[in-house]
Amino acid sequence: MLTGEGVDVIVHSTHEAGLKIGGIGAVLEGLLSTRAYLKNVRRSILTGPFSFGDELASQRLRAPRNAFETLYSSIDGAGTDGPLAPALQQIEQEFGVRIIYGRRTLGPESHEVLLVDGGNANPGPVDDLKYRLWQRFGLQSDLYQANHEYDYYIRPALAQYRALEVVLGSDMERGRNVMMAHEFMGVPLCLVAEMERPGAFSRVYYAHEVPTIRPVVEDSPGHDTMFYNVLRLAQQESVTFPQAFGDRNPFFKHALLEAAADFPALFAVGDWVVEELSFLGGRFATKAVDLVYNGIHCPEVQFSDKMHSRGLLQQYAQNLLGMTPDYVFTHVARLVPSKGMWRDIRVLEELDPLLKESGKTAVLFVLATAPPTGRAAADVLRMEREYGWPVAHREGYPDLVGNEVPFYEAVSAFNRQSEASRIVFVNQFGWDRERCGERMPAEMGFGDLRLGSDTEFGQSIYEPFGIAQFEPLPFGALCVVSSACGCVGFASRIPLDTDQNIIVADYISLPPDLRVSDWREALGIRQETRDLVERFRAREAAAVMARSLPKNDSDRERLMRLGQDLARRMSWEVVVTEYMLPALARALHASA
Amino acid sequence: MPPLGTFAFVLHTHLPYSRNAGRWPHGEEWLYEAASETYIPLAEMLLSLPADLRASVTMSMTPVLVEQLASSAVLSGAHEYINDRAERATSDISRFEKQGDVGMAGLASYYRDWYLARGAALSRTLSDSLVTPFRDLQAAGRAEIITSGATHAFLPLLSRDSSVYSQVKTGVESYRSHFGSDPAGFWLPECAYRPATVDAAGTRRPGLEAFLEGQGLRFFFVESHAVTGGTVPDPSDLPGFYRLGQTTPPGQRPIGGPAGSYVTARPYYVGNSSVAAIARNQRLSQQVWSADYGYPGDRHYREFHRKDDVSGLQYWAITGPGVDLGSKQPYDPSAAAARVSDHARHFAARVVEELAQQNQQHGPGALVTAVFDTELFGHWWFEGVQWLRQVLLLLGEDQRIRIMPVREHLDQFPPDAAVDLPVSTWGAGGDDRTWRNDLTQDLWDTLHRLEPWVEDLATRYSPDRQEWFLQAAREFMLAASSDWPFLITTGQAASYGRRRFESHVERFELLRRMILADTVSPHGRDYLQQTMTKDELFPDLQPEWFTARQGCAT
Repeated sequence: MLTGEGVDVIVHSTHEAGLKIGGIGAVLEGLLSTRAYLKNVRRSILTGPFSFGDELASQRLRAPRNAFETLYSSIDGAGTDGPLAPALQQIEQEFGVRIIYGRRTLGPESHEVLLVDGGNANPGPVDDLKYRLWQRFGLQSDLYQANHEYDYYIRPALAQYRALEVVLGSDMERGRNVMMAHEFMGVPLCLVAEMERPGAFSRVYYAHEVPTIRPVVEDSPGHDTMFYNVLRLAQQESVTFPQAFGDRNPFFKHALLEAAADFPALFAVGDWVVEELSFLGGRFATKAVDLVYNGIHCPEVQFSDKMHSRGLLQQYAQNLLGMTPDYVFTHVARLVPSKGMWRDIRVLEELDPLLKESGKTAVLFVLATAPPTGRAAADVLRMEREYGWPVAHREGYPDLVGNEVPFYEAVSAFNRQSEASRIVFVNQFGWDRERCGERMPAEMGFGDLRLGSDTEFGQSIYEPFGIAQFEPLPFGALCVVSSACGCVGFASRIPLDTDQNIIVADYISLPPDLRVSDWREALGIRQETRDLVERFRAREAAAVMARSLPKNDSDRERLMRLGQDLARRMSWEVVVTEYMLPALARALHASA
Repeated sequence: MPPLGTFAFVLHTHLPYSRNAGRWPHGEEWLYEAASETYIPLAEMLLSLPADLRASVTMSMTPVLVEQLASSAVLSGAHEYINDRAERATSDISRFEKQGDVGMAGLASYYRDWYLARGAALSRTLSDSLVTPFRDLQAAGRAEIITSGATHAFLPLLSRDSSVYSQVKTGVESYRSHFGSDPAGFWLPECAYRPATVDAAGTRRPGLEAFLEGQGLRFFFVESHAVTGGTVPDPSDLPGFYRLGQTTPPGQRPIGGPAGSYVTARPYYVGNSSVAAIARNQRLSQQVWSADYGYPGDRHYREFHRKDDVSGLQYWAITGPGVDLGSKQPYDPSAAAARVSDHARHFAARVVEELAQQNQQHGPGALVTAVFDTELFGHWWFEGVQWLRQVLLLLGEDQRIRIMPVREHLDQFPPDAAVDLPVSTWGAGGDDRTWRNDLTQDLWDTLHRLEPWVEDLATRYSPDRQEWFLQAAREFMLAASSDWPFLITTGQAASYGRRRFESHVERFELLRRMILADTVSPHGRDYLQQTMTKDELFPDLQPEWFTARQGCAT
C-alpha cells in the first residue's frame, strides 16, 4: 500500500487507450476497476495513438458498449468551444495531428482518454523528434522508419505530450505523477516526456510480455521447451539472450524495449517475464523488476447457476453429437500458435482411455477463430444446414481458413479414434444461437461457456500471464495450464492447496532421459524433442485430470468453493494492493 | 592391331535418404521418379543388350540409396508411382481428345505406353527389390558396381577419423550384404579427396586412400584437375566440344595440384598406397554433363521443367536456348530419337579420337573415363538412356577400343606411377565451397560438435542401450550427408535441406540423452522404435566402427 498521499496522476501510455483490443485493455479494465487503485490514484489518463481513418476502430470507439464520452474532437466538432479547445487546436495545427479528448468508463468510474492521430503529422517535428531520440536515447529510427507500426507510435508522440500538458494543467506540477508505458507501444511518449520535462513523471515500463522473446518462442519448433531450457541453462553460465540467439537490434520492438531499460521502474506481469527481461542482458541484467501480476475476476455466483450453465452445454453437446457428456471441457482462445491448442488434443488422447475405463464421457468445446470477427450468422446457418457445422467443417471461407485447417484435421483425427470423448471446434467469435447456429440452446450465452465448464484448457507456449486460462476458476473448473503461463507463478504464491483446481502441464522440465547438459544443447531442442516432452507431460496431466475431475455434484460444489477462494486471493484487488501499489511506491521513491 | 585403349563409362548413382521424409516436392517422390525414369529403364536397357556385345559400365551405387532400393516399401511405392503416372496420361488422352488436340493426345498415349512398359518391367524382372536388377547386371558382366560412403558424407570435412572410417566401413559392409561380394572401387562422395593432414591436436590424420586401402578397395575417382593441376577449365572452351549455345564461362581459379606432368589417361597409385586414383576426362564428360553445353540441351529433346498444369506430365520440347517455358513447342519423340542417333555417333567418334590421342602418348594402357550422375539419364535427360544404349552398341562393336569396367582395366594395366593428390572436389572451383560456406558453416560446426560424442558413446553405452546407440549412429551418418549443404548452397531446396539436417541432429541428440540416462521412459522406448522405422537402414551396423581412431585408418 502506498504511504502518504498516494499517486496524483497515472498516465497510462498505451495503444489500447481508446478501446480494448487485446490483453492490455483487459488489464486496464481490471486495474482501474479496483477500489484500491481508485483510492490511491487521484487521477488517471489513458493516452495513445489512434487512427481515425480506421473506420472499424472509430465505430468501436463510439459504440455505446465502449462507454466513451467525447469532450473535445476537431473531427466531430465536439467540445471545440470548451476551455481546452484553443490549446488543443493549436497543437493540432502545429503538428498536423488530430486529437480526441474524452472520458471512458472502466469499472465504476470514468477516466480521461487522450487520443492522437499522427498519420498526417508534419514531417519536420517528427524528423526532429527522431533525431533527438537518437541523440538522447540511441534510438535509431532510420533502421525502423520503413516500418509502419514503428511510425504509428513515434509520429504522434510529441504532440501527444504537448496535449497531455494541456489536459493535465496544474497537475503537471505535482510531485507524485507516474507515466506508465504499457509495453513498447507506450515507450515513445515516456521518452518524449523525459526529454521535454525531466523528472515530471516517474516513468514505469509495464512489461506485459517481452516482444523480443515472443517471436523466438513462437517461431522455433522447440517452442517453450527449447526456449526456457536455454534461458535456465544460459543464465547458469551468465550467457545472455543475444549471445545465445543473436542480435535483435534490427527489430523495432526490441529497440523500444531497450530504450525503456533506463526507466526508474520496471513492472513485469509474470515470473517468466522477469526472467526474460534479465536474460536480455545489458542494462536489463542488473535492473530490479517488480512483479505486478494480472488479476482474476471473481464474480459472485451460485452453484445452481453453474449447474444450469453446465446443463446448457450438455444439451448443446446432445444436440450436436447425440450424447450427453459427463464432463464438459472448454477452451476459449485466439487461434494463434502461441496458444498451443494442439496440446489440448494431446491431453485428451491420454485421457480418453482413462475416461473409458471409468465409464465416463466428455466433450471439449473449442471456441477459436482465425478471422477475428468470426462468421456471419447467415453463413453459420447455411453451413449448419448443409453439412452439420460445427461438428463437420469444410475448407474455405466462410468455414475453415488459415490455422483452422490443420487444427480441424487434428481434431478430426482425434474424433475418429477416440472412444469416450469428442472435440467440437466452433470456429466463431461469440457463443450464442445467432452466432453458433440453431442447435445451440436459445438461452445460451458466452457466460455459460465459462460458468458451466468442468475444465478449461490453456496450455500456451508463450503466455506472460494468461487471464483467460483462469477465468472459469471461480466457477469450479479445473484449469489445465502450461508451465509457460505467468498465472502459474501467481497461483504458486497463494498459500492454499491449488492442486485441486489447477493442473500444470510442465512442457519445460525435461524428463530425466531427455535432459540436456548446457544451453547449447538446449538450443538443439526442436520438434521431435518437444513432441516427446509433450507426450510425456500430457500423460501426466491426463492422469491428474482423471483423478481431479469431479465425481459428482458435491465434488463440483467443493471445487467451486475452492476455486472461488483461490480466485479471490488472485483478484485485481489483491494485485493492486499487494503488488502494484508497493511497486508504485518504489517507483516514486526511485524517481525522487 | 591392338586396341587404342580403354573407355570406361562411370555412372554415379545416388539419392539422399528420402524415405518417410516428406513426399512432394521434396522427399520420397525423388526415389520414385528416379526409379521409374532412370533406374528401371537403365537396368532394362543394359540387360537387353546383345549377349555378345563387349560393353559394360562402372556404376557407383551409394549405400544409402541401395538400402532404400532394397526396401519392399519403396518397391511398392514405385509401383504406385508408375501406375499413377500411367493413369494421369490416360486421363490426359481423354482431356486432349475432348479439346480436339490430336497431337497432344498422341503424346499422352506415348507416355501412357511408356509408363505401362516400365510397370510391366518392374513386375516382370524386378519383383524382388529394386536392387535385384543391378545385382543381375553385375552377374551378367554388364556393370561393375562399386560402393561409396555410407550416407554420401563429404569426407574431407569430417574432423574425426572415426567418422571417415565408419562411412567407408559401413559402405563396404552394406555392399557385401546387398551384392554378395567385395567391392573393388569406391566413389568418393562429390569426388572430394583429402590427403594426409594434421589436426588441431597435432595428430597426423591419414589421407582418404588409407581408409580405402584398409577395406581392400582398389580405386576411386577424382576430378581431372586433381591429377593434372592447373585451373578448373570451362568445358565449353575445350576443343571438339559439341556447342549448343553461348554461355558465360565459370570463374577460373588455380588448383594446387601437381603441375602438368600427370594426365587423366593413366591411373596412378596414391602416395604409398595400393589404391589407384582415376581422373575423369573433362572433354568427354562435359560433352554430356551440362544441359547448357551438352547434348541434353538439344532443342528436340524433352523439356524437363515445363509440366502440364493438370497431370504434371512433360509434353514439350526444349525448343531452343533461352526459349521461355510458355513458348515451348510440343515434344516429338521421333525427332528426338533422330537426334539421339546423331549424338551417339558423335560421342562414339569423340571417344575414339580421344583414345587415339592418348594412345600416342601412353600406349594401349590409356584409360579414358566419362563420369556422369546416373539420374541425368532418363530423369533429367529423358532420351539419355537410349543415347547410352546406342553409344554402348557403337563402341562395343568397335574393335579399336576396349569398353570395360575400371577394375578389369586395372587388372590388365596396373598403374606404374604414384601421385600425391591435393584437396579437390568435382564442385564449383574444384574445392569445398559448395559444401562449406557462410550458409552452411553452422552445419559443420554442429557435426564437429557431434563427432566426439559419437566416439564417446561407442564405448560408453550400456548393453541395454545398444539399439539406441546404433540408431544414434545412423542419425549421425544421415546428418553428415553432403546433400544437405548442397541443397542449402544451391538453393534447390534450402529449407528442406536444413530441416533434414536439423531433424537428424535432433534425433541423434535425443537418442544420446537416452543412452546417457539412468533409465529410459516408455516414451523413450517408443521413440527409438519410431525412429528406427523412419530411418531404417544399415541393419548390420557395429558399434566398434564408431570408436575413436584418430590418426588411424583401420
